[in-house]
Amino acid sequence: MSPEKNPVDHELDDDEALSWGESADSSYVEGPARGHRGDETADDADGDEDELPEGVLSSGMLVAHGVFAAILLLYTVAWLLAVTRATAPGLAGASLTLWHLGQWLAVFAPALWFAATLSLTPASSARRRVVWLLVGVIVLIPWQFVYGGTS
Amino acid sequence: MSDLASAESTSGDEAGENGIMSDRSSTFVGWITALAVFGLLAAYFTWIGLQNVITVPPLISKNYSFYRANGLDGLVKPLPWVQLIVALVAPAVAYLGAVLIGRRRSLGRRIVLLLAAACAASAISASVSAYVTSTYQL
Repeated sequence: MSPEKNPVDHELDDDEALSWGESADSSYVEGPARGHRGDETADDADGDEDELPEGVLSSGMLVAHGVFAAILLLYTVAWLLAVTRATAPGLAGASLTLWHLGQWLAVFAPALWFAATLSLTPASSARRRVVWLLVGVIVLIPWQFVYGGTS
Repeated sequence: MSDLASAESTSGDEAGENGIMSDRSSTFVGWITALAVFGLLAAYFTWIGLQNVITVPPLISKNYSFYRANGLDGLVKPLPWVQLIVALVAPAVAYLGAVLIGRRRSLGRRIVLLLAAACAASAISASVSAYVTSTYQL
């Protein structure tokens, strides 16, 4: 180890730190393609900056999905607790069966709302998806859990 | 029914005997079955909502006349008409909304929509019932 070689080594290390590494690396993942916009330069695309390829969610939308999923999961738990606590209001026969069916449908409502929203709104129209998820969060509030009603 | 049968036979003539016809008719039968099942469910929830609109306000009013007679005016609250009417119309609105939104989509998606709408309607009904029974101590 000669003392002159150390600065060169440091220089190499510094250069390496400024690059993203080899694209041949197996952990390297190509990001959303930006060069597929024809002859447009990146500067021209100010308005389209948020547009991602079909089926790719932005980070914000991923977080929003997580938040909505968590809220609706909590709703499911609350509905489950409310339904298991509830007692049938003096019903018998078919009415009682239908009452139980109604109660259990309510338990599955948050999960189904989430699934239906994801299945029916394309990933590209983020606003529509968020609006529908928000509607679900408002409509499916488990008041039965809050009030502990019986029927 | 005769209209449905003729519609089916016309689509069958157009498709020929290459299997498209059976696909179409099974989708059609599946859709009609789903519409009927979820329609009945919506009708049941509407019926329950209607029963509540008719029977609940007199029950509450009866208690109120008792409260007033005993000088307990503080216990008198406005009748929950809005909530009862929401529970009455929610099943039909959800069902029709699901049918409208599901137009020109695959059968599976339409059924998921109808199921989600039925679940949402039952959740609303259960919420309103819980609110009314606990707030008015019925």
